[in-house]
Amino acid sequence: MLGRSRETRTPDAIAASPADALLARVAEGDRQAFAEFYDLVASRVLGLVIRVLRDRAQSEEVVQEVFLEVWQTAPRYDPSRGTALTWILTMAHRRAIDRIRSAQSARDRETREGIRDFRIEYDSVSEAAELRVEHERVRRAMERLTPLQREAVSLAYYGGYSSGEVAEMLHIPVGTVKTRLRDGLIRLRDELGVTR
Amino acid sequence: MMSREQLHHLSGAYVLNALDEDERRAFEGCLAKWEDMRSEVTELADTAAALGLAVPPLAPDPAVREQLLARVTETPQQPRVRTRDVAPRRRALRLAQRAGAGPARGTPILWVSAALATVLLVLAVVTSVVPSPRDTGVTLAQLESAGDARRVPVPLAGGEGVELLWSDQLETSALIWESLPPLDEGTVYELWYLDESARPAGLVDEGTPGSKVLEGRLRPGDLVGITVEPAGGSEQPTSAPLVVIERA
Repeated sequence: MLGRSRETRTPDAIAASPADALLARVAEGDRQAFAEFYDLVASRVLGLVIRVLRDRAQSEEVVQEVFLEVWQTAPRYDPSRGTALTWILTMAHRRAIDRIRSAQSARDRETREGIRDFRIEYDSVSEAAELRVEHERVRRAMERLTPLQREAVSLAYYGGYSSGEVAEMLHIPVGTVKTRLRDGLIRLRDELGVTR
Repeated sequence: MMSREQLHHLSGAYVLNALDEDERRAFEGCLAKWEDMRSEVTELADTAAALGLAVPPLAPDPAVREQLLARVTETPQQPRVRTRDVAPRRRALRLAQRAGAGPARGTPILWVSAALATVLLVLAVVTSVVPSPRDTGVTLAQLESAGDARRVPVPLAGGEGVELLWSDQLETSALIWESLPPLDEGTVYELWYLDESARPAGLVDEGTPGSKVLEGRLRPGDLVGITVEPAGGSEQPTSAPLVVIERA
């Protein structure tokens, strides 16, 4: 497989998992596997989409769109480009952002919210232990970033803001934002041990 | 075309979906050229996914699952991609880009690009058909009974029962459907054979009954594409293909 000639180390949560095995069966047109795949990852997808979009009804529409796309394009999914979870979360994030940018809503949101603190809040007491571990890992990795890296990455990923919007909000040139997004992510990658 | 350094510079913003539409498309174009850059993008995408996994999960309403499973029973899957056919994939991508829109945002780029390994169908309206070189004269009945006849479902959103039927021996293909997505007024579907270039293969509109034998000759390796064109059809695609069909 491309890009995997070197040793593969990924965080447990996104390493090859039951989701990958199910997706391989979905690619063969297995509807039962599709239902199982949905049951396994749908709450992850909605969790992310609602973080970005905020609106529950819209977010559930996006979830449905994303899974329908999974069904349609599973035969073309290429495991060398990332795990099943990476694939679907990337797709979900992109669709959530498409929604934000398609309407006038981007500007509205900006004025409504101003610069918000996009730190990951954990208010659920019933949260699974493994999730807390993953959350804790990511939180610690985020702390290793410079303040500017952290803010830029959070605004872009959790806030759904474009590089240009982030630049305006942080009063820095857009080129700097792009650089901080890249070196911030590289730092996170190294902290989280995501290598291929 | 961006330089390698500029490309590098954008990888983080790309993975976070923070590029604007033009930059994103340019980046993906470059990515197709520099295979080794993919590993960085793949790693950063995994990293972004880890950020996504750190968010509290939230179970969707059960109705979402119900509706989804119902839709899946009537939604065809896209045909599998033969990833070894790199050259035709790039060609297909260029074609799609030349046509203006490029792949729809949110559509995996691999989808359009890989599909080029095969046939591109473009549907257009009824009348004033663009002249097509030397039809094979094969009828649908002859095509269906050909010894090497094969068919593949065509994933056309909003259409039902859409299939491509073809025979390499007869050098002919046909598009068959139960229903096609409705057209805007003044537009037609146009079918295309695609290889290095796009060859018009006939028009289809709402008045066309459920099948169309493509005009012109099917050559080995051709893809079939479908675009929406102004009434009367076009000599070359003026919009990105709705679908590019692979005969795998």
